Order: sequence, then C-alpha cells, then structure tokens
Amino acid sequence: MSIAPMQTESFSTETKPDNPWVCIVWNDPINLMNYVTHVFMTYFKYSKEKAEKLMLQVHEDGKSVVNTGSREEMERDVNAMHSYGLWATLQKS
Amino acid sequence: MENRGFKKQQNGEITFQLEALEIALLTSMIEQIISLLTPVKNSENSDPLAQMVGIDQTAQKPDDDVVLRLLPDAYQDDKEASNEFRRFTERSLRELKIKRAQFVLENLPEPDKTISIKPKDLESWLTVLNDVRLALGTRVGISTEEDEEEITGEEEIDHAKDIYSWLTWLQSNLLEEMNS
Repeated sequence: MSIAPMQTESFSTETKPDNPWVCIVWNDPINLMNYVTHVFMTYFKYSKEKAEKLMLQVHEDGKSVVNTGSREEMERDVNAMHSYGLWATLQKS
Repeated sequence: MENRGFKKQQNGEITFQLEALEIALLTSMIEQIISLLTPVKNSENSDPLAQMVGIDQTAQKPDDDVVLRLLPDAYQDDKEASNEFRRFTERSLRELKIKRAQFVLENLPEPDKTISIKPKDLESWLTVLNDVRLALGTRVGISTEEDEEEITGEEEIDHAKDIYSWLTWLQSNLLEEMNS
C-alpha cells in the first residue's frame, strides 16, 4: 500500500491520541460509596455495573480514571464532579 | 435510629419525617454552608461583564480547609492551571451550590409532618446533604473511614461527630429509597 507524501504529512498531525486528557476521582473518607456510584450513574450515564466498578477502584486504589477526552471535556467533568462534592482533578493521560 | 417512615411512593417521590431538633440542625448547617460559599464582595476589582458570564478574576485557592474541600483544585500539580480554572468556574460553582442549599432550606418540612421530595428535587437534597457532610467532616477532621466512630472525649467534637453520623444516616436513607 502506498501513501502519498502529502497524505502522510496530514495523517501524522491527526494521529495524536483522540483522548489525551483524563478525569480522575480520588478517594475521600466522607463521600458514601453508594453516593459515588449514584453520581457516576447520573452524570456519566454509566451502567450500575460500570459505576460500581469505578467506585470500588476509587475506594480500594485511592483513585480512578472515570472519563477520557479533550481538555475542555475533562474540565467540564471535573467541574461537575465538584458540584456533586466529589474530589476530582484532570491531567494529561 | 428510629424509623422516620422513609418510603418511595409509586410516583417516585420519597417521603419521610424529621423532628424539630433535626430541622433546626439542618437549617443552621445549611445556612453556614451558604455563608461559607457566598463570595466576598470585592467591588474594586469587579468587572460587571465578567461577573455576568461567571468569570471571577479575583478567584483564588481558598485558605479555609472546608471551603477548599467544597471548591477543590482542578489540577493536582499545576497551581497556575488550577487558578485559571477557578477564575472561569468557581463563581458559577458557588452560585449553584448556594442555589441548591437555598432550595433545600426553603423546602424543609414542618416538625413531624411528612415531607414529599419529588424525583427532580432529589439531586438537590443529596448534594446539599453531601456538602454539609463534607463541611462538617472536614471541620472535625474526619480523614479516615474509621474516624467517624472514634470518640475523642472532647465534647464539642464528639457532638459534631454525632451530627455527622446523623447526616450520613439521612443521606443513606435517601439513597436507599431512591434505588429501591
């Protein structure tokens, strides 16, 4: 398969990861486990199974990546997590 | 704790009752949250247009641990990015939290009368109870999950921990009924 040089060039600028930022939720001793699950289900529309899995990861590992996306999207998620009282940050993945 | 008639009705509303002392406690604590979150007026630096779109050029990392827990940094290791994030989001976040708190305050039940919370209002109740727990838990230094149980012998802190446990019980009951 041959690729013309110009195509290669434009292709290479687009191969940056689509989801270079992550939203992390950190464990804290105050938020109730079922509340955290509820927030993940309500805001991210995750299934109960996925929400519980992420919540347990937060609880047991101290943190969990709950979503990935653009910086703007992750800022929106972090802001939403803060509105629910969850302790969340964003960073490059 | 005795049964306060927590029940999910067929229309999805959740009903329960609170005693006079409990309502007084909630009132006082929600009022404290509102006062903690009310931005300090800074007329010299205020730009009405920026305020209108929710930008606060003066927003800084809060000194108070409780306020910081309610309005945390968005970046773990990037102070500049965190401050920038605050300038663009903190005012609206404060306003949202205050709005929810005022809503719950205005809708607290009469003592021993059944309150009915509509499904669309449950989110406000849950988040406001959570903010109150975060504030109180941070103030009395609950930093591990066992701390809640521990009795310190200091009367004020033990009293605050009792209130904290009661708030936990209230929020748990709401969550349980919601998911029932």
